[in-house]
Amino acid sequence: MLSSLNTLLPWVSIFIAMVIQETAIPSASWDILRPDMVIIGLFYWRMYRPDLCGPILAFSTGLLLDIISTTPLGLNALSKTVLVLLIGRHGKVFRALDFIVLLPIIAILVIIDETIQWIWIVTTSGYHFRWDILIGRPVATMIVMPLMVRVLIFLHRSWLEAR
Amino acid sequence: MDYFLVLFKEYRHSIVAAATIIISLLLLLSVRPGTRSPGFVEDVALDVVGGIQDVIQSPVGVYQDFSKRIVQLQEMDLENQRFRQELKTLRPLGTQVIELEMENQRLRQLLEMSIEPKLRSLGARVVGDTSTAFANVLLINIGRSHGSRINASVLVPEGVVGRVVQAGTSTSLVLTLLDLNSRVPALVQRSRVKGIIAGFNGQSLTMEYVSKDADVRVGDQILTSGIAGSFPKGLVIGTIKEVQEGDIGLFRRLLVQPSVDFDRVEEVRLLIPGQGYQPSERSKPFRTTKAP
Repeated sequence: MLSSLNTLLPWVSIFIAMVIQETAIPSASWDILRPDMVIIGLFYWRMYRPDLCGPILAFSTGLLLDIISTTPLGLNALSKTVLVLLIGRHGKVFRALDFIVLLPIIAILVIIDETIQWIWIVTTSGYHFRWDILIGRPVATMIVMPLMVRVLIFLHRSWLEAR
Repeated sequence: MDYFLVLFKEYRHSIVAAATIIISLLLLLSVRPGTRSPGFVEDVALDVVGGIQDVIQSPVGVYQDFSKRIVQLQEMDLENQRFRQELKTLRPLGTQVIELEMENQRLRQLLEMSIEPKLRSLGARVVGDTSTAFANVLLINIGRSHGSRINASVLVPEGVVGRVVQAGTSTSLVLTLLDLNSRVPALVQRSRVKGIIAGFNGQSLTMEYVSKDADVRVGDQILTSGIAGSFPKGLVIGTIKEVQEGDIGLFRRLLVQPSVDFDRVEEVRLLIPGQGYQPSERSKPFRTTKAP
C-alpha cells in the first residue's frame, strides 16, 4: 500500500511545483523571472522514472495549469504532453549527459513549450503577449533548476529508492 | 477482442500519448477562450490549489509584511529627513512672516493717524540710528527729493519722535526729543500750563520753565503747544512721572516719560506744513490710536 502511494510522488511533487509556480511566485517582482518548475519536474521524472511520469501526468498537470492560469483549455495540456513525449524519446541521451549540459536543454524545452503556446495564441487571439516574460522564463528556469533537481533527488532517493 | 487487447498492450504508450494529444486539441478547438464558465471540476481545482497556496504563502506573507514594514520604516526615515530640511528652510520664513505682519500693523497705525488737513504727510522708514553717547539722532530714508524739509515734525502713532534737522537728497536726519539739543514748546493738557520740553540724552525728558505754583500732577499728559516752533499743537509728548521741587529759583522741573519708545521706532510719518499754516491752529489732541 505504502509503495503504491510512493509511486504518486511524481504527481505530488509536480503538483506542488505547479502551485508554487502559479500562485506563490507570481508577484509583481517575479513577473519576468518566473521559472517553469512544472517542466523541471516533468523533465526529471520522465528522465529517471519514465514508468511513473507519462503523458497522462503531463496532460493532467497541463490541464490543471490551464484552469488555474486561465489559458485556453487544453493548451498547456497539449504542450506539456508533447514535451514529455519529447523527453521520453531522448531520455537515455539526456541521462548520459553532464548536469551542466542539461541546463541549456531545459531552457530549450521551455522555449519549445512557449513556442507551442505562442503559435496557438497568435493564430487564435493575435499578438497579445509579453516578450520579456517569454525571454525571462527559460533563464529563470535554468537558474532554479539546480536547486529544484536537488530537492527532487532527495525525494526520489528517500521515498522511492530507499523502500 | 483478444487481438485488440494485445494490440493495446503492445502500443499502450503510443495510444495514450495520441489520446492525450487528441483530447488536448479537441479541448482547444471546442472551448473558446473567455467563454467557458467555471464548472465543478474547475471550482474544486481552484479550491485545492488555493488551499495549498495559503499554506505555502503563509511564511511568504509574513516575510512580505516584514519587508513592507522595513520599507515603510526606510520611507519614514527619508521623510523625516526631508521634513527636517524643510523645517530648516521654513523656520526663517516664519520669522519673516511675523516680521512682515508686525510691520504691516505698524504701517496701518501710521496710516490711521489723523492729520491736520493743512499738513502734508510723508511716510518714512528709519534706516539708521546714528545716536552716540552725546546725541540722539535717527536717519530716515526720505530726503528733499521726496519732500522732506528741515523742521518737519516726525511722528509715530504713540506721539512725537522729533524733528528733521538735516534734509539730504534722499535721506534726512531726525533729532529726537531725547537729544540734549532738543527743545519743544509744550503744555500740560489738564491745566494748560506751558513750558519747554528738553532732552538730556537719557531715557526721559524734562519740562523746564514751569512756575513753582503751577498746577501740575504726576500722570498729567504733555502735548505740544504749537507756539514758536515747528510742531503743530496737540501732539502727544508724554506724561509727567515726577515733579522735582527746587529750593532755589522761580521754576520747578518736571520729569516726563515720553510716550514713544525710541528704541523701537521703525517707521515714522513726517508732517510738512503747507502754505499759510500756523502751528498753533491745531486744537484737537493728535493722538488717535493706542500704542500696541
